[in-house]
This record gives sequence, C-alpha cells and structure tokens, in this order.
Amino acid sequence: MSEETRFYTTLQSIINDEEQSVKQLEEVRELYHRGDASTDLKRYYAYDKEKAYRMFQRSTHRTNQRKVVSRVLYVAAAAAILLGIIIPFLGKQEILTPSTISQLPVIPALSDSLPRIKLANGDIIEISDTCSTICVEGVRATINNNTIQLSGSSENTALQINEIIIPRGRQYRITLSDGTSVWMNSESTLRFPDRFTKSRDVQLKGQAFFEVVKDGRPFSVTCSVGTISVLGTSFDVKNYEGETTQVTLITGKVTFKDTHNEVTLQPGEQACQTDDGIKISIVDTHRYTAWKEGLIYFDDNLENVMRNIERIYDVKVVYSCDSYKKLRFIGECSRFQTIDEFMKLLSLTQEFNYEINGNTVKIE
Amino acid sequence: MEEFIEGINKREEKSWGNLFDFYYAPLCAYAEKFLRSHDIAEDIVQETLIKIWTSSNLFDNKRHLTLYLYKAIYNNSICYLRSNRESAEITSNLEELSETDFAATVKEELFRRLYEEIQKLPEQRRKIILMSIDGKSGKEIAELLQISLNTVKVQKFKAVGTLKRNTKNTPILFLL
Repeated sequence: MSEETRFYTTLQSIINDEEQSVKQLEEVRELYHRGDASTDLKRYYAYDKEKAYRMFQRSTHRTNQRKVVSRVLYVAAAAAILLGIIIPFLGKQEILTPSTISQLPVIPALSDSLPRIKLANGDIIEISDTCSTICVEGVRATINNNTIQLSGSSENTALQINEIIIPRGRQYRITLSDGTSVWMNSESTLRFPDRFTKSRDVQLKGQAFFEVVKDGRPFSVTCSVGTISVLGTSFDVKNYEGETTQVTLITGKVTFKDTHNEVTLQPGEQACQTDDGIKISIVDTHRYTAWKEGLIYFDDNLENVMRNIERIYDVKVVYSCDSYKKLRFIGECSRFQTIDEFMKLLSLTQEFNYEINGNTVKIE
Repeated sequence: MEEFIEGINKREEKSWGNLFDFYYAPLCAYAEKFLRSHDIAEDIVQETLIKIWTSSNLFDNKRHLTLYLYKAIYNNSICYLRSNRESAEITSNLEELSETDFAATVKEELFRRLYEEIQKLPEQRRKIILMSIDGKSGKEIAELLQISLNTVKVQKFKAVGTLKRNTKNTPILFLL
C-alpha cells in the first residue's frame, strides 16, 4: 500500500471510529473522539496567516498584478482604451509570469534576420538557427535554440575584441566565458574580449539583462552615456539610440557613472540618464525585465509603445495622423508569434484601425 | 480537476490565498511539534511554500497536495534539526515517517480538516465558533459582537450543522 493510500485509509478509519491496531493511532482516535478539539484548534490561531501571506506575495513578486489594475483605475479618463487591453490578460497573466519559476521561456524568433558575430579582423559569421558550434580564431561558441555559449580562448594570443549583434525580432541568451549570463534584447550589440583578464569589460548598445557571476574581478558595462560597474549582481541596461538610458537593478549593488556624476543603486532602484543629470527612482522591476521572460509590457503613449514593437517584430510603424501617437496604453501580454496578433489586441480598444503591408504597419 | 488544485498548479493568487487560509497555520503547528519553536516553524513553512511555488511541481488532486505538504514540512524540519539549517529541500521521499510521526501527521490532518471548514464559514458564524473555542459563553459572545443572545444561538447552531455535514458527521464536541 502506498504511503498516500495508507494515510488516507487511516484518516477515514479514525473518522469512522474504527479500531486501530497501532498504539499511536489508537491514541489519535481517542483524542479525536474525546471531545476537546478546542485546545488543538486554538494552536492554529496563534499564527498570523495574513502576515505570512503578505510575506509570501512579496517573495513571489505577486504584487505586480494589483498595481496594473490600480493604474487602470487611476487613469480613468483613458478607461476605454485600458480595459480593452487589460481585461483579456488579467486571467492569463499569472500563468504568463514565470519570472520566479526557473524555467527558460521559449522565445520565438519573430524575424528571419540572423544574429551575427563580428570578429576583431572584421570577418562576420552568421549564426544559423540550428544547433551548431562555431570555432574560429578567437571565438568558440555553441549555439542551441536561442542561447549562445561562448568559451574563452587560449592566453598566448593577443587580446581581441569581438562583437555579437542581435537583430530586430530576435532575443538571445549569451553565456560569457566567465559564466555570466546576458539576455540580449532585439537590435542590440555586445562587444566583448575573447577572454577576460584582470577585469571584465564589455560594451553594450541596445538592451540587455545581466546576471553577473561573482569571481572577484570587477565587471563593467559601458554604453554610450556611461559605465556601470559591479562585482556580482543582476541588472538591466537599456540604451537605445534616441531614448533615455535606464539602468535597473534587481539584486546586489551597481554604480553607474557618466561624464559628470556617479550614483550607486540599491535593488529595486532605477537610474535614468537625462539632460539634468542622473535621476534615481524606485520602480516595479518586473516592468523592465518582463521582456526576457518573453513578455511585452507597456505603459506609455502609442508612439513609445510602438517603438518597442518595431524592434520586437522588425517592422516600421507609420501614422496617418499624429494625434494617435499620444494615446496612452497600458498592459502586458506574451510576445505573440505575429505582429498581427499584437495589433489585433491593441485595436480591441477601437481607438484606431490598422493595416499591415509587408513590414509596414499603418495606424489610421 | 478541482478548481483549487488547478489554481495551485497554475500559481494563481486565489488558490494560493486559500492554501494559506486552510493550511498555513496547521502546517506551522505541525512543524512546531518537531522544531519546538514558533518562529522557526513559521520560517520553515514560509520557505517550503515559496520553494513549491517556484518549483515546477504539479499536483493531481487535493490528497496529493496535502500529503506532499506534510512530507515537505516534515523533511525540512528534520533537515533543519540535523544540520541546524543548511538546506531547505522539498524532496518528498527523503524520509519515511516513523509510526509516531505518522500518527502525529494523521492527527494534524484531522484537526486541519475541522479548521478548514471553520475558515470557510461566513464571517459572523466563524467569529462565533472561534469565540466558543476560546471558551466564551453565549452571553459573552453576544455582548462582544453586539448581537442578541438568540442570534448567537441560531448562528452557532447553523455553523455546527455546516461543520458536521462537511466533516461527514464526525464528532465535533468542542462546541457547547
């Protein structure tokens, strides 16, 4: 008899007041029928289950959903827009938020463009979709679905700087030779040396989420506006041309330095580089890292929402009238296979119509 | 599959809220038996539940979940006692329950079932039952809740009826 069967058979027979063969169970039966369950039940009320549940929600990042809903109420003027988007997802969202489940989401490729590795000597290698291993001067890489594992080169050659280029419509997870993971978003470039020496320095254009392995050597990410230095931690860097640079810290500690200032971030904080210097604010980090779980999160005017969409689906968006650009949309959804699915969703709000022609999306 | 279990598997807020309502306190009381510390018991239960939430574990039904929870808490408590806290694994086959611990588990589950049914009662009836468990008389309850003694009696009668029905006519004699 399995343990489960035995357990439940025993429970039932005690409830039915049947004879028990084992001494300990006989005691349980007597206790159960003796008639004073109060003492036993009273013990339960010595625990604060509400408090425990709040702690649990914090640990499992479950407060996010409530925030989305309250924001919806807050921007009531745009309710018609919001409800259309939010409602279809509320039911699904919890399933779609695997951020703390340690499974790598399968992130589909949304364009035919292939990622490329550019070697120090200028040669360009295209990375095909199938599993393969690349072994050329200075670079050894194993490719598997949307992950690329890089290994360091031998030490008797001159240090070379290579570049990995992720095109629009793609996302890749790169493992560097020190074990650090880098989730690279669409249209992003990472420059890295073929091996790390005393320090670990990489350069980024675009957006990436770093999970830096602690090994005693400092790790730094340089982007167009400054440098982020860490020892071992996880954080997101967004540095697309023409957009505000944002550094969002998830765990650990990082410093962010531009030409004039230097700031240190605590987990949950975000640094924004603006014309007036670096601004630090406390943010809902899920919002800035949802992309690496295969989600699209947005809370912005249509122009900015679509700028992100252009990168994700490798499309170009045109507007028949500029007033559409200012409409505000809030929501979260999975990274659908096609742009059409996403547009269908947005247009549920009946705020605009759209037309897709090849790689162009026309909003009218 | 039951809605509750489905929600647990999908990590849905409603089901996990219910899990805290129906299981949290009994599991703490259960862990405290082994650990002899209220606070450590709460820590172990919290950690175990978070681990389960973040794992990819799926449950077939409520029986499966219930026994799994007891076993996980048992293992983690024993683990803690042994290593004085090194790992909080949720492997469910680490230990076979000894006869004594098996009996303790059965006992906890019997009382947990009553507790679960109490948790499910409507607000006022639950309050009345809890106050009765606390040893308060009908008159005292009436004063505390600012309702008539007759209402207390009626509500309590109905509550006991519900509890009896839902725990399959088992003797619940803790009530007056």
